[in-house]
Amino acid sequence: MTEWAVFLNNLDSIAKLPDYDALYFGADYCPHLMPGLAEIIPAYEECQRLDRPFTLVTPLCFEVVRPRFESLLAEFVNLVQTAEVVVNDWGLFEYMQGLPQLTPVIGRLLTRAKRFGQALSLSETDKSHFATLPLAHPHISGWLKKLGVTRLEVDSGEGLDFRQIDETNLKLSVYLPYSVVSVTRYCSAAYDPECGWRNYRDCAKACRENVIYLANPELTRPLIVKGCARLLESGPGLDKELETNVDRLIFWPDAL
Amino acid sequence: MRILAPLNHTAEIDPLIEAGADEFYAGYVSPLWLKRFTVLSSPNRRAFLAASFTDLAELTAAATLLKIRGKPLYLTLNRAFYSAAQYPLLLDEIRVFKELGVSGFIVADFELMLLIRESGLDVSLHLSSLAPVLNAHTAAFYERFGVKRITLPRSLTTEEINSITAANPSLSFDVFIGGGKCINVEGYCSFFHVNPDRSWPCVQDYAVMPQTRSTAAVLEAELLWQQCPRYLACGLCALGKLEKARVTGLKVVGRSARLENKLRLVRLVKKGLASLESTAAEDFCKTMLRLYETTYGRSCSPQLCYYPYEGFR
Repeated sequence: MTEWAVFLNNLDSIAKLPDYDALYFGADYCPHLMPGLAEIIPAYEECQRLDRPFTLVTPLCFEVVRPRFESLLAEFVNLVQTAEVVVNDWGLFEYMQGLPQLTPVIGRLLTRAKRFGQALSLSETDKSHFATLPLAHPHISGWLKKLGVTRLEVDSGEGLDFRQIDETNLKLSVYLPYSVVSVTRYCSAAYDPECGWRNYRDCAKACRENVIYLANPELTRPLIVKGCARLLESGPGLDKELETNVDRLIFWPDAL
Repeated sequence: MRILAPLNHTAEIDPLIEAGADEFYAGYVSPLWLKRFTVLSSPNRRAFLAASFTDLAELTAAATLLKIRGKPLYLTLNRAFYSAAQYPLLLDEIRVFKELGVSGFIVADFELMLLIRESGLDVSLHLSSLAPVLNAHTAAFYERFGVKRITLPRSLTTEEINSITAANPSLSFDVFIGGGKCINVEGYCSFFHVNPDRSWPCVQDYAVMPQTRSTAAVLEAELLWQQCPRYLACGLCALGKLEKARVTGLKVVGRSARLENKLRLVRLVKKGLASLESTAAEDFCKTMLRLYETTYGRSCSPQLCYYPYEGFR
């Protein structure tokens, strides 16, 4: 049975969503989009009220925001006792080793699978290579399991051989309908022509109102620039793979 | 601080040493690798052969000459991940490179690090920026894999670099100082670097299609990247802060660049280091901006500066 989760970073849209099995709440590609505890706790309580699982999603973590995220995780664990937390930064993973009440999930930015937005003619050898589900080799997944990891996550999974998850004791989630192809700290929505970027400590989050598409003959689909992320809409043909090997799909309704 | 220079031909060694290079890094793609796999899944991040040695005899000659010159050579094996079939060949090749006198390996993949450790290979591991260390805990995390030296990604501020190095006194750290500036946080990017003219998807020309809510400022910011000669990127004005932050290696980008470009950049960094000794701290940034303009015939810009958060102007 495949579980359907929705991934949000604010509660504004939750009431409008269709039925879902679980809530993912937080941010992954941008630390500035990470909600604070004042937003996380109502989201958690809403899940408790509806008897639905809650997963906190944490982003990549620059040193300047590390203390803030450490405090957030420490306070969060005091309030909820146990929870699943998606990590997209090995430093936060390391920090979470000291918070055993939290179950780490290796997020889509850390699993490092290739996303196939470029129009490349791949040989069979290349296809086989890039079908590798990173971190799912029995050797490394065993090591992750010892550190409390229960689940790996990937973007759309285009070109991946999902069957590799069967060789591990881990579960697999897939995000839809957008993949994060790259992340920059030089956010176009935060650029100031006079002084460059000043948003490394805090940010006005202008990305929420600004999305542009970049087209190029070398790409199979337009790149979608959303703040500091470049996204791709997922490719077709995943249905069968998803049905048989993935036990959780994460729908990302407010990606754009 | 030592200058770490890129290398892809033996003939480059002596001119680069004369220009100021203290250490070297190179890639190697073996004929056996190409027979069994492809250059797209090359053992290092560069998916085109011009960036790597492809002949073991020439790599041997380079390693031998560098040994004579007393300069270390590090080999890049910095793929984000390998397929299961690639690891045995990688380990075999690492044994060969160790015999050649290669001083260390620049790696990014966990499993390779674990396999090296478990196979008893006594080699020095340096972490590539493709395994991005954005905070102090991540550096500590990788130290558990036996990493002794870390190349920090381009996207950190000097304040963050200082905090990371201070929290990890048993590790040494390199930063990029000149050459190709990557817009993206390297380890969080999954683009292929395969375009024959070496124009990567992060800087290619695009038709920009605004959505209805887009603003002119966002479009302008995107177009600036497309026009940016990123191979002229530079972090010289931060040298003083980097030295105080206990950075030991200054990495020059561009394994596949022409020798004249490598020399120009190494000389520029060498001059910057000399100025650090002779220039008052309050004048240093201005001096570096003048040096940059003299060298490249153009001004620096936020897109070209490695440390734009700190006010390149």
